[in-house]
Amino acid sequence: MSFLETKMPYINEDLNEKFSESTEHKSRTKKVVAHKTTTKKTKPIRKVVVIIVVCVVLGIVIFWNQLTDWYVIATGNPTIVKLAQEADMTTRGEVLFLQMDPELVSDSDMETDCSSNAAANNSNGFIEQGCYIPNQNDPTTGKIYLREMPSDYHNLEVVTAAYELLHPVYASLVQSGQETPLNASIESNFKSNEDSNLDTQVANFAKTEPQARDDELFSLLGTEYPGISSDLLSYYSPYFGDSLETVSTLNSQIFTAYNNDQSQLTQLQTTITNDDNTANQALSDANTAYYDSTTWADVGNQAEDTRNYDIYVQDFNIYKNDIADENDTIDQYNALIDKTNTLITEYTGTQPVNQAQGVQAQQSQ
Amino acid sequence: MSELLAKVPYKNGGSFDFYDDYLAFDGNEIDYDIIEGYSYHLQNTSQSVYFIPVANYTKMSVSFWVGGNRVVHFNRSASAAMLIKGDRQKTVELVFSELVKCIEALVAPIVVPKWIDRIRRGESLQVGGITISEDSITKKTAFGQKEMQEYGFYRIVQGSVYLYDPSGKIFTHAALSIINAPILPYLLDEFFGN
Repeated sequence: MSFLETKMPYINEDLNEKFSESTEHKSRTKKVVAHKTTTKKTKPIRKVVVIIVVCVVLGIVIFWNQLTDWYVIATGNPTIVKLAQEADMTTRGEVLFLQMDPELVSDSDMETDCSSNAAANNSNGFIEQGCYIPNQNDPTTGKIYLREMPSDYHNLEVVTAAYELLHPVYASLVQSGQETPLNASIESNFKSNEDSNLDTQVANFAKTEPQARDDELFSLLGTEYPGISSDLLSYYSPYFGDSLETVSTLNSQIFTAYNNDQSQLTQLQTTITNDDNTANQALSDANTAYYDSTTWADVGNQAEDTRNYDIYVQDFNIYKNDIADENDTIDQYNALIDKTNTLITEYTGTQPVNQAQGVQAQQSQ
Repeated sequence: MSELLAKVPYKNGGSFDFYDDYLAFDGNEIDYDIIEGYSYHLQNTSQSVYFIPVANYTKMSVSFWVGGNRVVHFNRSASAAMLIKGDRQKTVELVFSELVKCIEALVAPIVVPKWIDRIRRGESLQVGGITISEDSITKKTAFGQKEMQEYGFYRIVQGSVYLYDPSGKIFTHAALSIINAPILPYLLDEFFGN
């Protein structure tokens, strides 16, 4: 005990210099007492913390997939997430869509980003609205590009989103060994559909993407043709909530609007022609009455002269009214042509498509 | 009124205080007479990546057994890059050596006589796999207990107490980090010393 007897209390000088004076034991000390039992007691608060931690860890393990899905959707681009929701994708479809890193791009970017098939499609008159670029080593993963459309054609973005999502879906179905029954179902639905539009698109794929016929048909049938068979529908249902009806309805709305315009233009054209014919008849009648009026005046028959002149004035007024009506209809026609051409321009973007020509207004004689 | 006999500062505002009848550290107060055993251990380790030393650590621990399963621990550690020993590591080593000095001076004189008395009254002391009674030293083996035929001497080497027979052959050993391993030399001298 010699070192303790040298100085009381004993304290190592180096440690004393290094650390300041302790006040700890004066302020908070806990008396340790001899242990009475052999059971180690855990503090209640520690038990609660352990239970909470265990519950949290278990929860994370059990709900891992839901948590990761939630994270993918929560951190996704709100515009893209909205597109997925408008296409009525299920959570699984939405997550897969977001995992493909979809991007809305301009017309010019589209030509670069989707260069592998944009040129081929454009040269055949088909409009490139989006593309799926699969990774070379794994076709079930890749990137989706969507053409940014004017507000009039927003629904087309939604349809294209659904269309492009079905490419990685098809790839994963093929990879999981379902290629044979899936392709049989696609071909069966294609044959029973008997749609000239679909035939044209398939003929185009035969030239541009001959190896991707069923892949493209899978997207086409799913997004543009309602009424597909239940066996084919079962391949889509994990990814789309309402059996794709929402998507095909949106798609048909776009073409219905265009077709309505075309039908209205035809009606207006008929009205213009009718007005023109009526005006010409009225003008001819007016000319005849005027000729008769001058003839009766030359022979001094004042009464016939006056009666024919009145007929002439009446016919000429009919002619002028018909021309005015015709010009009103021409204005409506030209306005509708402008609207249609605007829609065509917005739809086609940078791609060359012939536009409809307006009609020149008539001049009264 | 208790008298402060020794003080081992280990951090600003924190020290290990040895009074004449109890010790205090880290918010604990332990009367010497309830201490059933103790241990201490100092360890230096290094970490390498592809044989290149990237860090080294100094860790010390002191434990007091106060009966049953209850053990009160005190740990300090410090690290430094590569193989260079830093000031904080040197401080940990100094704190350790001071604590050992104080424990051996103030705690051992309480604990060792307590166990000598118990062993004399027929109890045995178990330290890891070693069991010491008044007339035998045994160790645990895969086939059961093995008794030491004749005790020779002990040595403390690299933080462990080694027990040898008279020919110098190792019979067994116990690390000083095991409770009551530090009092083995006292007990061996008492019961088996020449």
